[in-house]
Amino acid sequence: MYSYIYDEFVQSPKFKKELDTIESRLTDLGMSGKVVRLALFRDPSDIIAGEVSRGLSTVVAVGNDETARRVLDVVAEYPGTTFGYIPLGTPTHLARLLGIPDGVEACDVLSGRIVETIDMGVVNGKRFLAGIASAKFDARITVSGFRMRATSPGSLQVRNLAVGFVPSPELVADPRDGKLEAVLEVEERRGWNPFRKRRSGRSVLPFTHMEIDGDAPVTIVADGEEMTSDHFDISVEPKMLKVITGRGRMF
Amino acid sequence: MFKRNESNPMAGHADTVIALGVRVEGDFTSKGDVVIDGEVTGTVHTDASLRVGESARIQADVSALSAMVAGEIHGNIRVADRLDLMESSRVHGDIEAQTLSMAPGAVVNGRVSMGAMEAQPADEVEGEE
Repeated sequence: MYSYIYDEFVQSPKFKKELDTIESRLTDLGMSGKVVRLALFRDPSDIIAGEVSRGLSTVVAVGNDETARRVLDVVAEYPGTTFGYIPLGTPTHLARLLGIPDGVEACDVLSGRIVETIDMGVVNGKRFLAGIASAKFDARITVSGFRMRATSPGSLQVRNLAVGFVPSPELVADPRDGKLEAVLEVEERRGWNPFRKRRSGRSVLPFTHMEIDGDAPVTIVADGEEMTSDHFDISVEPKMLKVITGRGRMF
Repeated sequence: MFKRNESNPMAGHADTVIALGVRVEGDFTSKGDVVIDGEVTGTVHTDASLRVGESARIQADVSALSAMVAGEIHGNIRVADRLDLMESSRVHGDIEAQTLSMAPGAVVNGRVSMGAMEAQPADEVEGEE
């Protein structure tokens, strides 16, 4: 049984034609289901919780990555429920990672029903699927047994899948391995000469639990949502989410 | 885990990379391949291979299945299989290895012993659990 969660923006006239095509294709594939339309003050968690209690097995987000994030955050609370995604609008980086084409072609991917059970990350109690980014990172990282710190400010990514647009599959982490990957990039000045070329280093650290402590508040972006704190607790929840993927998935 | 490392050619398929510009303090353990180009103080252990780059500065006892060292280590090295000391390597400590290869120019200040020894498994591996 399918439920389709339409984001508010896809209900605009701009997407009407495409949405009609999608609905028609879903009917042809025998996958029509209940349609729920999100509105400004309509919380998807209450809606999905109600649907799941009535035996719903697959929840499909129809919209962009932000729509997907809002829906999967709730779906992850209900083991046994599968998450699907029909990308409309932008950005749809997450869809690309999952191998789901935009628009009506996503219906065939849903129909193919290749289901992967993947990990989710948790940062200060909030789940994320793709990853975390911090552009100006200057804080201490603690993983049990050791501490790590860049000698000069750099950038940090914590990846369950990947952060933002990813040009090739080689840059995507495997979300089925029960680990997250921290990638810390730092530029190191060589000697005293300010015009001398800097050398950059990219540290990679797989982990299951990490803490970040800053002398000053640190700003991170977790799946597009900004968070600021002087302490972050990051961990992985293995095999947390069942998600429908395409053959072209990047992991 | 990454399918392969993105930028550091020396890293190869390393699971963990401590790059230049990063300082690590404490007991660093891993089950996978490790590349160190930065600074490490404490202990380093991996059940797999270890590569210590030219820019690396390690003040720690090091143990690994195999190792290639091009940087500086202040501490004892225990390698179950093969240890390669490159010409830029500087080791201030004792070395234990099954097989040792030393390039001309490599510096060792310590006792060297070679022969049969057993690999020490990591008790607990963070990041590789």
